[in-house]
Amino acid sequence: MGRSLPTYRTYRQMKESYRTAFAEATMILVAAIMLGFVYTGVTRKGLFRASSPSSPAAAPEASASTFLTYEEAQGLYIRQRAVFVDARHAFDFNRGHIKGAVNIPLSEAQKNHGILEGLPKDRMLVVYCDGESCNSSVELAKLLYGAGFSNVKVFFGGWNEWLAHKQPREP
Amino acid sequence: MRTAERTSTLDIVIALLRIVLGAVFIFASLGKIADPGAFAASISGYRIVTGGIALLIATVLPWIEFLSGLGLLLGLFWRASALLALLMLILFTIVVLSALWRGLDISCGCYTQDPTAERLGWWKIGENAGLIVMSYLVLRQSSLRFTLERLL
Repeated sequence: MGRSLPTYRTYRQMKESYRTAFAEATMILVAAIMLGFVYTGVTRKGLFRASSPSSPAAAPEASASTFLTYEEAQGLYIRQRAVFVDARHAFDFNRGHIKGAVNIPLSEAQKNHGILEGLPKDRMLVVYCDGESCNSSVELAKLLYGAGFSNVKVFFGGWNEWLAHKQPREP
Repeated sequence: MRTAERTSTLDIVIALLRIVLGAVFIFASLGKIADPGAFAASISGYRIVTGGIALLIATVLPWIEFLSGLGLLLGLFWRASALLALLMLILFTIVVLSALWRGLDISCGCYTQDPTAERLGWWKIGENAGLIVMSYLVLRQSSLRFTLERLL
């Protein structure tokens, strides 16, 4: 007890002590991997969630995944199975958007959850923004989910992909 | 040079840094452990990995944070814990830097998985730099005060 503390006396001593640290760090990593898998397995969270998107059992019109491919989004659009929600700023929305889409800019929804009230709770909502470079669709989808909308999907390809396929737009 | 039974101010400062660092890591891990799915979504937001890989990271990473945090807090395997904390912080900083460079409009996913939380910003780099210095200071000690290891 009570040695003078901070520095190492010799290089060798330091090397030895670091070697122990690396060995212990490896042990911690192994323990973390085991704990992570056991915990999520037992609680059925994350990787082991019961309704894993990879189970093809229940695939109605769109996949069970929250993220829609262009084909899935377009299929829902054609059959009018979903309300399309544009998460971009009003400026971008007014320059062009998916025909019939509702504009709920993420920044405004964050300030005022009240504007979500206008959306139907009994229908599927497909949220989109510009495309892969934007995240507001995902953020808005989470916001909607938190506000009690249970059937929310994200069309990740968004406006860019819609435009590339020359799908109905306005204006 | 042996000064028996003397605890210098530096020893106390380093011990405090160790405990604060441990608490930060434990705090950061809890939300992620509680909801790995949401953490995977936060990871995907960075657009580096998605899907299964994001879920795998969300399964394991929070536990590395938790165990390292616990190690630092209790002073058990504290050097390994400080090493892991340092490596994680460097990794996080690189990832955050890349997100900022790409101008991603995302929340950090660091302490809370609430996607509406504050946007990621340059302040995060400053915060991480502070934590990196802390973990480095702890790591370079050859021995520490107030640790469980010294009691055992």
